Amino acid sequence: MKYTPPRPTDAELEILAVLWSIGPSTVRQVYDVISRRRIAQYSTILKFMQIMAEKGLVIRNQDQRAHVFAPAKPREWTQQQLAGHLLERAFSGSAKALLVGALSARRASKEELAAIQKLLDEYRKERR
Amino acid sequence: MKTLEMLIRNPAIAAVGWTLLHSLWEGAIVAAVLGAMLLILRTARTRYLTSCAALLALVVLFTFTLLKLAPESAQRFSVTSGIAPTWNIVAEDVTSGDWRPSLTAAAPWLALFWLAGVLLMFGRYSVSYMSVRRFRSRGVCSAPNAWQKEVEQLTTRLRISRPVRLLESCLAEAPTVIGHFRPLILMPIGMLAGLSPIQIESILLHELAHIRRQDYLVNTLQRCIESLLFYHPAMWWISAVIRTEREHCCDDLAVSISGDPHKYARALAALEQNRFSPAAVAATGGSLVKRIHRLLYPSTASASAPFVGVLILVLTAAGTVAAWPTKLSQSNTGAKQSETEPVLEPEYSKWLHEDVGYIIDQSERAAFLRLATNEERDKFIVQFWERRNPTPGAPNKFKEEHYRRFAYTNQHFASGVPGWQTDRGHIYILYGPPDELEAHPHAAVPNEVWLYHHVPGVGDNATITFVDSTGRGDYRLSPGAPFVQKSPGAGEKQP
Repeated sequence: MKYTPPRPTDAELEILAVLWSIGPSTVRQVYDVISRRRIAQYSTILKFMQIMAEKGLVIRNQDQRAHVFAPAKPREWTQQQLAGHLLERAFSGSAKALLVGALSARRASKEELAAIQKLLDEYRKERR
Repeated sequence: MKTLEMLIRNPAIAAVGWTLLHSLWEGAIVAAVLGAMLLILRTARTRYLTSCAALLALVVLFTFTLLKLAPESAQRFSVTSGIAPTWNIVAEDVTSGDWRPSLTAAAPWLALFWLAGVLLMFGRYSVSYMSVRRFRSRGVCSAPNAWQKEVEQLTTRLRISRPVRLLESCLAEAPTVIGHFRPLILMPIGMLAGLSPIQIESILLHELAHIRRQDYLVNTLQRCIESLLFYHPAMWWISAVIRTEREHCCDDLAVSISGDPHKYARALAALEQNRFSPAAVAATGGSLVKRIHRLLYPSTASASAPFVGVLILVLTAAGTVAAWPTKLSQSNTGAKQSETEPVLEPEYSKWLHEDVGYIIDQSERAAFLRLATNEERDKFIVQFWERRNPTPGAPNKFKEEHYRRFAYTNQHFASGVPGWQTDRGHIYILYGPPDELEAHPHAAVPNEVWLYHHVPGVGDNATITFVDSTGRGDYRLSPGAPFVQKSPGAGEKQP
């Protein structure tokens, strides 16, 4: 199947995030997670997930009485899709200036990762 | 176009321009001091605080310089014009080697460039701010309860008073802290499941350390300073030092709670390996390698920072030389004059310096000073006027007009000093009454714009702006180039 789902909207992305986080779930389970963060309506989420199934963003498994929804594409794929979008890139790029976190905005190269691994290994050897 | 001219001639704008130039050498000194202190200071905390103080010092010095220059700038420029009596044809007089007038002309442009840059930078950070707001809610889902509980426990261990929320985000590339008043830790989705619990705890400790140290707020302020001093190499270096030391501080804090630097370093390495990045750009010279090295071998600190400081010192030395006050050169010219000038009787001295001070050319002045007797001098004066007589032999209209102008200036422009000595007097004596005059005596800064349709040796449609920044009728030539030249024939020697 060569079909590529459209770029998810904000509301759809929220639901996808839950499915990636906790795995394939029923609407009830998704609702439980979302309502921990904000006030949500079960019926709204049900409606959204039905639309997402039609769009091909999620896959509905109808084997059981309560339908189980799974993301149609892996997280990395969607992240790539979002990042490819110009507006998205501009936004996340400029946001970085104001964020603080454990890693720098720049990604480490393969050589650097190798150097880090070497450092860690050497350290462990010395201690033994 | 008119508004741009007005801006360029505004003394406040010129003051900003000079402040920018001065801030270069001020910053170089601050950076050099910081570089030296970093050689001595060893703990991340003191290094961080010192760099922050250095960055603040840049801003304080900038403000201080601006305040000091702002009210003075009008006088400053008249002093500058006083250095070279022939400033009105300064464009031709490049042989003198005096770089000051060209800097004077450049300063307002620097200021405009700076203002545009600041606007751009602030625009950029406003977009960042909106993006961050989006980040808080877009593509996030609350983390599993177990982890939220863990965060609460660690929060109390670190004695953080604000509640901290932990969310998973499918947009975050790496663990991130957002917000100062309602802090939020964003974990990339999949990271909580992909790392070992001990590693996640290490990462959480690092992020919580950021929250406890109020780094989000400090970073935002730091970005504001960066927008203000964006042109300043020393600022960028200091800012980079702060950023590095900030991470070191958090690493230290996290290790002091978890107790095992090796495990913590492994967690950082695992985090970097698991990192999702849409556009993997190959890069060299990583900071994470250094950080991990520092965690494992705390005694050996890198000494590269001071060298960068020295480099910046050299780079900004040019700015130092350029912006250094010209008191020296002023006193030099003064000394030279008194040296070469023989003692003249007051009558002749007055004639040379007052009566014809503005119109006598350099060679005539030199010739007059070489004369030995008063007889010769009297003869010289007669010849001087006759050379300028449009109708040789007949009554000298030129001389008549000159003394009329002289009297006029003393009647109309005197303010503290005789009228002929004022800037308006100077121009009036040289070029006569303006063809058009626009006076704004009741403006916020009273000013007059004089327009000459043609000025020999300068060009057509020359406008001259005088500004009375004191409000006491003391109109000064506004800074910047004295003329706006609109005709291509400008710059030929005065006949």
